[in-house]
Amino acid sequence: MSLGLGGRLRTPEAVIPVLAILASLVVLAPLVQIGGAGIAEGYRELFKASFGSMVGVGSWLTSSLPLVLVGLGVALPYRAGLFNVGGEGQLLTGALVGVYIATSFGGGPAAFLLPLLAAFGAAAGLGAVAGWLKSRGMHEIVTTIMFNFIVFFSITFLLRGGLKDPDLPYAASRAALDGFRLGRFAGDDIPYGIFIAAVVVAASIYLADYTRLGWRLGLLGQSDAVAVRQGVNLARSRTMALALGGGLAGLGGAVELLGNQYRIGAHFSPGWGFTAIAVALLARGRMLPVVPFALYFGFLQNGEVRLQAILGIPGNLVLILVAAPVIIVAAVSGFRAYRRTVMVGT
Amino acid sequence: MGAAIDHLGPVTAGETSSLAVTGLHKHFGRVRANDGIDLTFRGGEVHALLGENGAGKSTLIKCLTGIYRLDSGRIEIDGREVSIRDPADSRQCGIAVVHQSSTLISRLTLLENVVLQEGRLGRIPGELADRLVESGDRLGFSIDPKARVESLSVGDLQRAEIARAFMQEAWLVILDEPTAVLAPVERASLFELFGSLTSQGVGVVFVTHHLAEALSESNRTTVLRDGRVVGRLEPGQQAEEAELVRLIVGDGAPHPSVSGPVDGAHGVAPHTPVAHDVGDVLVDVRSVSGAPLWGRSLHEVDLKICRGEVLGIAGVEGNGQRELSALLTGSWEPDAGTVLLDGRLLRDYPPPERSELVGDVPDDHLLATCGELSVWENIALGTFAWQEAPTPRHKARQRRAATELVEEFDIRSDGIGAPVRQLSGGNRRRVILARELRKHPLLLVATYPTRGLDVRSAEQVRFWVRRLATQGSSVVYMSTELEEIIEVSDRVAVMVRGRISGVLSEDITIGGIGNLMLQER
Repeated sequence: MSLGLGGRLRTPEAVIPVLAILASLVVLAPLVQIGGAGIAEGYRELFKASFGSMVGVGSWLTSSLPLVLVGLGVALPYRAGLFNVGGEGQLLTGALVGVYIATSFGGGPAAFLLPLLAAFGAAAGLGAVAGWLKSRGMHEIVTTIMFNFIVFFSITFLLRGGLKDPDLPYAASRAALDGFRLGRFAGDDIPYGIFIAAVVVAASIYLADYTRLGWRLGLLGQSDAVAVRQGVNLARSRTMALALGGGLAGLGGAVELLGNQYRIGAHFSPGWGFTAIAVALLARGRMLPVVPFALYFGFLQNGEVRLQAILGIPGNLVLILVAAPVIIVAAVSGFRAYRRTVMVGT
Repeated sequence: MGAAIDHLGPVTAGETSSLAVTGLHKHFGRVRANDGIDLTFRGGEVHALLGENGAGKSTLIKCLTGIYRLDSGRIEIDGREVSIRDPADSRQCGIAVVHQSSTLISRLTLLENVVLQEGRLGRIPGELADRLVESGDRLGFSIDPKARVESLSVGDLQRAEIARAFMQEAWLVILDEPTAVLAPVERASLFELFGSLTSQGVGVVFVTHHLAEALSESNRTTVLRDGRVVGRLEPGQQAEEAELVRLIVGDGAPHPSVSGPVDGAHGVAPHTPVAHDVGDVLVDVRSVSGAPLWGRSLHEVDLKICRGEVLGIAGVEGNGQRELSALLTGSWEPDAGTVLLDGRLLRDYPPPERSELVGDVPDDHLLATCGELSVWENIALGTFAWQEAPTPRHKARQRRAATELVEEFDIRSDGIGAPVRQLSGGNRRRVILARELRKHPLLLVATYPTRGLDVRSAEQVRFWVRRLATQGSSVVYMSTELEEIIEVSDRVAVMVRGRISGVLSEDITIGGIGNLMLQER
């Protein structure tokens, strides 16, 4: 039954998400046709949007960056058995703090680090509050969802007042000053943010897989009871996990702000915080797999606009490609767990 | 007396109802859990099933109750082949099983649990309650269908499950180690119940590690080893315990890691004062009171445990042992009172230090092992959490260490990479023991450490525990088996309703412990 690779690394389970994605592409095909376009044509345009040109590659990577970071922010608490649904709010918190700093102070060498660190810190604080509330008996799913609303509407409110750029006809903040922007390279197409993401991914892998803290968080995800018996402090570790998760998600918001939009408006995020849940679930709470899944969903999101513009297919159809694999994976692993307990015993 | 046991003799069918198994095979990976079992269970008889951990008893039962599907073999009831594909099929065949830990849902009443298994929707028919009460009456005990499961004792629950089986007209009731969780008095009434079941034509199969029980309470006995039947005791045949032990263990060859005598495993061992020095007080529990969220309350518990001493904690399960073990391992902070380890408050030890000094064998393996993690990861659980970061180098080292421990503690699994959930209960316990004993803890808290272990393994555990004590550590050893407690302990404390009702240090006898157990304060 086991391939002898250790409990969590059995290959078949790692392959399921990939198969699920392929299955979802098949599911989408008839819907594209109903939407009024040829299947082959639909997929060709989806593909072209990201791989048709350097500009496409750049915009694909740009769409994927927040997903990588917020994806890590969901995956890390997930390892500790916590479901962080608050990626969206934490991302917006990061962007909000980032834009405040990047419009208030002058730039300097490596000035971008300041808003990034502040964004991490503020969003980590938000996550920590959810962790603290968890230790008081309030479920993290409920609290993190509520924080999403609080942050979103606070920003909407601020955009009507102090935060709004008075020179703009619509509600958006002032733009981050040049000195804080992350910029692009290779013909001004590829965002420098990918290096920040690479460092953060490496640090997350190190923390999760190579440190005692990471092991304790993983233990917590396996069994609270065992973790407590091993001397793990539940409240402190959960707060730590949600704080780190929040901070990572906040970084995602700040990187998007400083590397792409520069301003925060009413539609700053297309729902990265929620897509990130799909990313983390497909990655099964492991850090490295977050990257390919985030890149895949970034690819879908990047193609959505093109499908709509060129083929007239409702872009929302692409959302099916985000949701379907998660449902398939949930169903398959649920079925496997059922077979394991009922047919093989525990 | 060697001729008394008929090795693999022919099986004769007959009587009211019979279930015959022929050539039953069930493999898990490379492990042959059942390797061609031929066996017949009959109505109106008590049939004891003996064997070491991993001998294949649980697998056989799971095949008969539809939890596993057999790889090959036949199951016949009254000569007709039946196929048992799931638990519902098994119930249809009139087979009922009472698992070691109750499968009733604790927040519901007994009646609601019956309804749950019957699988009907809508209002609960009144006659169902009557039938449950009636089947209890016919078996000679009273049953309250409206009682909440959580309010009942383990013995009550077993009786209720038997009544449920009886009510569903099961003709064969299989009990998996029914006596392991019972107090002596409750054991006696369980055996009486066996009598009323068999007098009404019901067959009883029970798994046990108590040889005396098997010999005195059953009509037939079957011994399994390595997935095969290695011995049978037919009605009227006599055998001695030593002979059964030889069959169970095989060839009488002592286990490599047992230096102590193998045949000390049965009967009442005399209390032998141990010739080693008992040092100064290592653990000092001072007037501890309070209740954890998940448990009962402790009242004014005072205990002193010296270096080099094994302190036995006797008492019926559920009288505070689980709470005491959480207290002594530092995983629960009491409302009042203190615990000192080596002169320092236990709670002041940082977790890394505490996990090194205190060995923890909890009563429930779910508190100590993660089913999804592999054998070696479970062994390295605390090390990676506090001592060494799980880097590739340290992981390689822990794997090597685990390979040796698996050998030393005779943990049977499909390799050290196999997830622990695949292991039998006894082997899971060995994983815990391997992890906790290898750190040579200053204090070992062993809560029912031999539960579910066969005679030989239990003997090994007691040997390891004694050895640890002679090396200067303190051991708190909790058990419901008085003989075991007396054998292993230097002093015995008795727990009743969350209190220590007394501590015996000399002339420790079953009678003396019994008196303290009956004390009410």
